[in-house]
Amino acid sequence: MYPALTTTTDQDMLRRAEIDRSLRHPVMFFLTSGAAWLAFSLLFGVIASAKVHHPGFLANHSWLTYGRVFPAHINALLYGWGMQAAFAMILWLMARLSRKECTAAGTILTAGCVWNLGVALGITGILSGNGTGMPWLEFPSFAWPVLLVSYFAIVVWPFIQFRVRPQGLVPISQWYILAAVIWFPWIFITANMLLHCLPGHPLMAAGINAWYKSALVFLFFTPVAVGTAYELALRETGRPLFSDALSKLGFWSLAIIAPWAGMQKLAGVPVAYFLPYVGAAATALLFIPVCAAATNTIRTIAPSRETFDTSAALSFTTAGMICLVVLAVSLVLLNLPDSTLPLTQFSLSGYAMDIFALYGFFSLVMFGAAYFIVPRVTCRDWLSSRLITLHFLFSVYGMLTVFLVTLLGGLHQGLGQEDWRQPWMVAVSGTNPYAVATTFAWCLILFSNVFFFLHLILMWLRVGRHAFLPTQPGSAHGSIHDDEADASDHAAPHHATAHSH
Amino acid sequence: MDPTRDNPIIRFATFWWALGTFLVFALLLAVIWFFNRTAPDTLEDVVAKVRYETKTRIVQAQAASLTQQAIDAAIPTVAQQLALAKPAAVEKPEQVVPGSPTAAKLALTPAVNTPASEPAPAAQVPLDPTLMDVGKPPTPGKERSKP
Amino acid sequence: MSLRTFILGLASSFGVAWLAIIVIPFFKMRALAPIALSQTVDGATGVFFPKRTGRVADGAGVYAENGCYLCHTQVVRPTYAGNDLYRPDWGGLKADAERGDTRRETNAYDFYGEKFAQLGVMRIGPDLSNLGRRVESIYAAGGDPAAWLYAHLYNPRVNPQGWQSTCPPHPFLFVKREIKGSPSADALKVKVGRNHELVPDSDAKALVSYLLSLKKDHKAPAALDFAPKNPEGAP
Repeated sequence: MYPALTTTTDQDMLRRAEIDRSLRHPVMFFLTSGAAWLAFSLLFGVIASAKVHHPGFLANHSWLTYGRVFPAHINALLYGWGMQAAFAMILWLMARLSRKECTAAGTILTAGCVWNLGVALGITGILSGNGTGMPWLEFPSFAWPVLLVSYFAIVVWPFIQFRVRPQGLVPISQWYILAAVIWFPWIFITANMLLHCLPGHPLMAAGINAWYKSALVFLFFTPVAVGTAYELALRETGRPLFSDALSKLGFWSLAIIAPWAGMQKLAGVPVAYFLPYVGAAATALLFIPVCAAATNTIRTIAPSRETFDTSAALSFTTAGMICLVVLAVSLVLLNLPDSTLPLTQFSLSGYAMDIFALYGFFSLVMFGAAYFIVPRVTCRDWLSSRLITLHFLFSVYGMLTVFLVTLLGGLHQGLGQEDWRQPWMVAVSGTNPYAVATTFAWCLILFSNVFFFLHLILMWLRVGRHAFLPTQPGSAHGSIHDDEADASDHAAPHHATAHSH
Repeated sequence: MDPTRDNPIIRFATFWWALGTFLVFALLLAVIWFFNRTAPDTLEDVVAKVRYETKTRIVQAQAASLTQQAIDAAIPTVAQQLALAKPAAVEKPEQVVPGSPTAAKLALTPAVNTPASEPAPAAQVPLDPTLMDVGKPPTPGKERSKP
Repeated sequence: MSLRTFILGLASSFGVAWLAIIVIPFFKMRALAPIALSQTVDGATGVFFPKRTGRVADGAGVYAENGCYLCHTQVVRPTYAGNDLYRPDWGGLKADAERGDTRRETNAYDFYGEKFAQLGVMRIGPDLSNLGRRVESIYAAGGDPAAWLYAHLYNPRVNPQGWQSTCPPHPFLFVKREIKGSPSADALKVKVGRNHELVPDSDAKALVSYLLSLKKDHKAPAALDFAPKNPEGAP
C-alpha cells in the first residue's frame, strides 16, 4: 500500500519524476553523443601521442598526420564531449533546481543534432587539411556560427527556467550553471570575432587565442563541473552545504579572477608588457576559488563515509575535485615567471595541465553525474558495479601517470630545452620517455572508458536493471538497488529539507 | 507555484533577454569596431608613401622642364620639316637584297684580292686577368675590390 | 540576489578584464606605429621594415593546416624569459660570414604578412624563427636550400643527421609522376619506379617558400634593441 500522495515529500518526488521524464531524451542524447565523441577523441589521442615518439606510425596518410590528428583529438574532446556533457548537466540541473519541466525537448534535440553536425564537419575539415591553425579553434571558420546558434537553441531554455523558478533562495549550483551558460557565448564570440572576422595584429591574435583556452576551461567547464559537484555532494549525502559563505567566495572570486588568466603563455613575446604577468598572476590566484570550492565539496561529503563508499557519483566527484586542486597547485608552481614558466612554457606540462583540467577534473565530475542522473532519467539502474569500479580505477591511474610523468616530466623537458650548450637533438631525445608515458596514460584512460561506453549503451538501450528509484513514489524501501546505489534513497526525508533553502 | 511568476509572456520576454545577455559583449565589440574601422596603415603603406612622394617630385620636375604646350607647339614645325625632306637613294653593299638582280650583277664582278690589302694579325697576347676582373659585376656580399 | 544584479555583477567582472586585456590591446596593436629609423642612432633612414620574400600568406596557411605549430615555436624570447637567444642559430647566426653576430629577439614587426602569429604550442622540434637562415647557411650550405627542405618534409629521418628527429613525414605533399623528357629540377632523390619521379605539389612549394622566408635577424632599430651597443645614440 502506498501512502497517500498528500505529503510534501511525495509531491516533491512526483515532481522530480515528471521533470526527469521530460528530460530523458535531451539528457541521454547529449550524454551518448558526447560519449561517442569522447571515444573518438581518446582513440585519436592515443594515435597522436604515439606519433610523437614513433613518427612513422600510420604516417602514409595525409588524414592521419600528427598535425591533423592532434587538433582533431583536442577539438573532439572539447566540443564533442566536453560541451555536450555540459549541456546534459545544464539541462538536468537547471530543470531540477528550478522545479520546471523541460518543455522544449524537440528544439533541444534538433539543436543537439546540429551541434553534432557542426562538430563532425569541423573535425572533417581539420583532418582534410582545412584547419585554421589556432589551438583549440582549429575548426574551419564556417563552424563557429553553426555551433553558436545551436548553443543558443539549447541553453536559452534553462535560462528561462531560472527566470520562472519558484521563489526561494538560489542554491550555489544554480548560480554556477547560469554563469557558465552566460560566460560561454561571451568568450566564444569574442575569440572568434577577433580571430576570424576583425583583422588585427598577428601577435595579439595569438594572445587572444591563449586567453580563450584558459577562459574556456575556467569560465565554462569549471563552473559547470563545480556546480554539478556541489549538487551531487548535496543530493548523495543529504547533508547541508558545509559553508554558504565559502561557496559565495568561491563563485565571485572565480568570476573576478578567471577572465584575466591565460596570457602567461605569451611570456617573452613582443606584446604589451603587462599582459603575460597579469595572466600569470591571475592563474596563480585561481587557487582561491578552486580551494574554496574543493574544500566546500569535500567537507560536505567527508562526514558521510558509508555513503561515499557505495556511491559512484561521490567517488568520481571527489576524485575530480582532488584533480582540480592538483591542477590549481600545478598552475601556481609551474607558472612562476622567473623560474618555472620559461621551462614549462613550451613543454609537455602545458598539455598535461589541459588533460588535468579537461579529463581529470571536468570529465570525472561528469562521469559521476552521469552515474547519478542516467538511472533517474531512464528508470533503470546500472548493471554492474565492477564496470563502474574499473572505469574509476583506470581513470585515476591515467591521471596519476599524467601527473607524475608528464606534469613533472615537462619540467625536466624544459630544463633540457633551456640547456643551450647542448645541441637541440639532446632535448628531443630527452622528451621521448615523457611522450611514451603520455601515450600510456591515454591508453589507460581509453581502456577505462571502454567500460563506461559499454555501460552507457546498455542503459541507452534500456537494458539496465529495472528499479524503483527515489524519484518515483513508493521507492523508499524494498528497492533492488545495486551496491553502489546512491544514498539519496535513504536520505529522501532529509533531501527535501536540505533543498528547500 | 506562483502562477504570476511563470506565464508565457514572461517566458517570451526572458527568451529575448537571454539572447541579449549572451550577445551583449558581441554588440559592444561591434560598436567599438564601428568607431575603429578605418584600416590602419601597414608598413608597406608607410614605405610606399615615400616612393609616391619621390614619384610625384619626378613627375613635377619633368612636367616643369618640358611642358605639354611646348610639345604641342613643336609638332607642326617638325611635321612640316619631315614632309619637305625627300628620301635620297643611298648605295651601300649591306642594303643589297640577296637574290635580287643587283646582287646577281655584283656577283659577276671580279673578286678583289683581300688578303694582300689586310695587315697580318698581331701575335696572341694572353688576356690580363686583373683587367678582366675590372669589368666583371661584383659577387654578392663581397665588396668590389678597387682596381 | 536577483537575476539582474547577478548578470550586472558578471558583466562588470568580465567586462573590465575583457576591455583591459583583450579589446584595448587588440585595437591599439592593430594600429601599431612603425618605428622611424634615425641616421645617427641606427645608421639608416626610413622605417624599420623587415621585409619577407616568398609566399608568406600561402605558406603560412599550409603550415597551419598541417599542424606544424604543435611542435615548433616561432618566438625567440628575450633573456629574461628564456635561454633561446644563447643558442648559436635560433635568433640569427652567432657567426654570420658578413655581419657577425646577428642574433636578436623576436619583435612585433616580424610577423608581417601573416594573420596569426604561429608562436607554437610545444617545442618538440627547434624554434623556426630563423629556419630560412639556418637552412641556407648551415644545413644546405653550398647546395640548394629548397631541395634540403623538400627532402626533410618528405621524410626527416632520410637525412643521417636527423635520425632522432620526431618530425612526421609528409609524403602526401609530393606527387608521383612520370618523367617526361628530363627529370624535374625539384624532384626528390628518392627512387619511385622505373620512369617516375616525386615532385613537390603546390602546397609543398608554398610551405618551403614560407619556411625559407623565415629570417628574422634583420638589424633591429635602437628602439627595439634590448642591449644597444651605443646607448642613447652616442657614437
